[in-house]
Amino acid sequence: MAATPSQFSAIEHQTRRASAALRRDLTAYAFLAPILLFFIVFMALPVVWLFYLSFQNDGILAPARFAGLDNWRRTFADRLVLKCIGNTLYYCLIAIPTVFVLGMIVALSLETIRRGAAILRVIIYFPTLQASLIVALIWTFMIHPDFGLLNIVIRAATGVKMNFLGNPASAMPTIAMIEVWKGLGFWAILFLSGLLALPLDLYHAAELDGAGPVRRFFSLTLPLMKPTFYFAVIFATIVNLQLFDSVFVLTDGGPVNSTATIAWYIYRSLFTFSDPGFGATLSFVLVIVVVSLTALQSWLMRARV
Amino acid sequence: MSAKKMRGYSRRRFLNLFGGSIAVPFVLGALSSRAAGLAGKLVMIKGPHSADEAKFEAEIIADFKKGNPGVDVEFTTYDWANMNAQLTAGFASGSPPDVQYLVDLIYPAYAERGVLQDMTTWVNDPAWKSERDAIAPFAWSLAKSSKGIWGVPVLGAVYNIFVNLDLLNAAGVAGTWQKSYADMMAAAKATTKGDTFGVSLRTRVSDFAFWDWFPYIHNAGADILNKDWSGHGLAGGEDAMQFLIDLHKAKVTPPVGSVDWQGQFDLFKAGKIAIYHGETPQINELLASPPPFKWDVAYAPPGPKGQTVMGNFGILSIAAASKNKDAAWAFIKHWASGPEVGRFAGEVNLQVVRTDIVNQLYGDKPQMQKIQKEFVPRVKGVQPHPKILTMLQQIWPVAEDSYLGNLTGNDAIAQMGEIINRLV
Amino acid sequence: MPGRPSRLALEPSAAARWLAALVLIVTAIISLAPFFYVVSTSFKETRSLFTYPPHWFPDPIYFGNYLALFEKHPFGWWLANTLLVSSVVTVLKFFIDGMAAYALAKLDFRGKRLVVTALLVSVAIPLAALLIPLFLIVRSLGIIDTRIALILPPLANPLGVFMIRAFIAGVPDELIQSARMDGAGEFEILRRVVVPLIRPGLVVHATFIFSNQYTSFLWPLVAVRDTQKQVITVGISSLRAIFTVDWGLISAASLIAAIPLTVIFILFQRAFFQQSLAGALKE
Repeated sequence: MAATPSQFSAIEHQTRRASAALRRDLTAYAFLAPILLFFIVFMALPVVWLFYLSFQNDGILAPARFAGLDNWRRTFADRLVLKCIGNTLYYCLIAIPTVFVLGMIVALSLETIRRGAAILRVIIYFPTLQASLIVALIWTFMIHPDFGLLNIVIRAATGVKMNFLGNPASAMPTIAMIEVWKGLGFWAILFLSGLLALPLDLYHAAELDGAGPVRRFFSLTLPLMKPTFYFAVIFATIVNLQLFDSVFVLTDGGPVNSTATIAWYIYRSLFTFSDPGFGATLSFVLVIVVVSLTALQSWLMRARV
Repeated sequence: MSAKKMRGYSRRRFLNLFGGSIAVPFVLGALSSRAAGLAGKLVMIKGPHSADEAKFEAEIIADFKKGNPGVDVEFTTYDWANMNAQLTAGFASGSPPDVQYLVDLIYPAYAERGVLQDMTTWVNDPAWKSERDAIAPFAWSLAKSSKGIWGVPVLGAVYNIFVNLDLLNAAGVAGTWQKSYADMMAAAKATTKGDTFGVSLRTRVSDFAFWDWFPYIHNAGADILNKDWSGHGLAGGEDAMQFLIDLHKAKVTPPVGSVDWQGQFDLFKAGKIAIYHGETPQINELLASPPPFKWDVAYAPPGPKGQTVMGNFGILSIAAASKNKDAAWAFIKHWASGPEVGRFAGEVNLQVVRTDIVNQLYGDKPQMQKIQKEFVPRVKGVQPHPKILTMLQQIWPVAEDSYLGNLTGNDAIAQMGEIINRLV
Repeated sequence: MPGRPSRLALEPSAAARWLAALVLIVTAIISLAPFFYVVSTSFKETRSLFTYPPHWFPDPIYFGNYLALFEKHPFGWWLANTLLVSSVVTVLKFFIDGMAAYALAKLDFRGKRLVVTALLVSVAIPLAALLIPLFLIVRSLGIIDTRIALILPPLANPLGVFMIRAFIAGVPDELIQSARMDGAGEFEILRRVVVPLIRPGLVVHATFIFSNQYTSFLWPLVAVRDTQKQVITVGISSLRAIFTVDWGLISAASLIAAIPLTVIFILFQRAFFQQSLAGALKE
């Protein structure tokens, strides 16, 4: 016969629960041990050091000199910091919804087609696999004013040659376009995996109820994909707020700082400007931006559920 | 004299001479074995100036080993686009490469942070005087600061203009374009038609566009910093700035930022640009695949205070943390010596800063000779301030904005001055 | 995928299939067409990106770029190093992230909030900022300029943990509870119950980790100086001389570099869809 609660005194109960809790905690931390080990050595320690650095001048090559809140004050006074934050948010606002919508369309199409889908999946994912340097090379070709494919098409349609990267107004959208092109494959595959995991019975039921494909999409697919979208939005925000590669290779922040992103400015401060304290401070600014934005998104999305 | 005495006399002389001629190699041998007493390992790092960089360096190292068999030299390169990250990591590691090739824009920041070895005593060594004097004074001034001498200048690239003589001749302006800015503008307008442009200058940050801008500023007697580096020295450069702005406004150049520097060179090679701001190593390409028109090298028209040419230079420095500084110094002396640096410069098509070998270089390349002999003496380089690169990169967006037509020359210079003053 | 019941009304309508095909063909063209010029340039002897007028097709076809890669540069080493490092990291991350994600998704423990917050916030730190301190730590561990230095730090990235956690969150708690009541230990539950259900997600994770590692640039740039130990991204970047970029060479290099990654991706995708097919049939 199983032990009944009445067989234990209150104290025995508490000890049992305490040791059960301990066992539970130990199990959990056993699972977490590997990641925590590497995390502490290769992530937490550098971050702590970075935090310390944000209160110094120099510290990497020359000995650190205490600077108090100087770096932090400079961060708030520097107009370029605000511009970087603005540029980065602007970029996220254009790129993320675009790549999500396009990715979803492609994912749905991949799910519909059966034959030949495998090859298509590889082709569509191909841009995602490329390194930034080659993406830059490809797009330098595509947007060339005289022989770029894009400009040829645009000239045929409107008779105008577009100056994609030279015009401050179009530079960031151009980078967004390039990043959407690069990321489309990844998001399509991710959404596809989400679509494939959806339960069929609900769809059978809906079909029996007479719901057409469009209705089924909006009433069933979208709500059921919420966990995937939820994760996708947060993930995309975090990754895109750190935009650096394309900017570094294609425009180096220009023209007129219109493509200067926070991560780009951090790299500049650390290496070209040899101003590590400032770079460290900016890193925490980026963290604050990312955390605030993702917290806001979490709150908004939770409210909808 | 008696024959016997003569024989004795000449025998003695013979013995003296003989003894002497034995002694000399012994003494020399003793001296060189003291030099060959240098041992250990050296690491040298440099950015590649050619696809065959490793091969050319191997030649220099092989020659060095002949005189210093005990020293092992390893050559490695950094990636120009990421040079700052790699060099900084090297210094931060505590065991950076012993010998480093650093360009004038970046070495001052490293020197200021104490990671470079002050080479004053070595450079001023009387035994090295003749070599030291062979290097032009302007080059030395680029390599030193008030706190020391930070390297031996060895190579340079001049930012010259390339002109398409056919286009200029067709418009009748070949003889006049270089007389004044106004003439250059007129020539540019005369040669701009269809898809051909009269002038092209770099405009993008990523292309280091300020190199093309500098000669015009220098010709107005202005510079980034004033004489004592206490503030900006751009006063007087407003008209020069306005001239460049006007060039873009007059649409005699490709639309601002639409093509990068390489793209502009491609346009020039195709005969679509009459006056192209480029740099000397491109001469190699023009000689290797000759374009379908006659071309030459030139420099910008004179400004109110002079007619200068811009160049940027590299020095060979020793890391302060190097454990083999004597060997490093010996290797640098070797690298910077006439035969070695001359051969290397000829191989990669760069300029030398030594004045003694200019006549032996670039035998088959008249344009390179012209640049070495006529342009290099006119060079006014950057001011080696620790924050020079920062300043240039931060003021350039202002220039871009003005090229796009949003600022006048006066405004641009004023804003640039503010930025520089804040950084000083 | 024969016989797989589609989610869209058992059988998508012909119209739907035509529309989907159109979308996919357009997307495929947009994804692939830009590479055409890269391929063409890789077979040209020219160093310029553009000639006027441009030669769309190489004439004559020149193989020298491809030969030069292996003769003049340690290209083979770069490829080998990159494949080695990426594979090791992917395999290790499978275990590290999988275990951690399970703990975060299905276990309750003290300090959970703290752990999740710490991991989440760290994802926001840009790699550029961590380069130098990471470099100093790796140096003090004595592993700088080794392949180990390329493998260990990426293991700390928590992004993969959150990815797998999202997939595990979709596994119904009841399944886990019943397994617990059957007396299974947590690790067994992870292995026997959870992993089979999230196989597609694990493949997505593996693809992501592998391709991320394959294309990583900043950290190898700083951590490794020996060109024989270097990875492909840094290697290709080093092909740029200062004044002239040999686009033919770089195009060839990039295309070859893309091959192993594409092959691995194809293999992963087959596994991915094999599993989801099996999963659907089980229903």
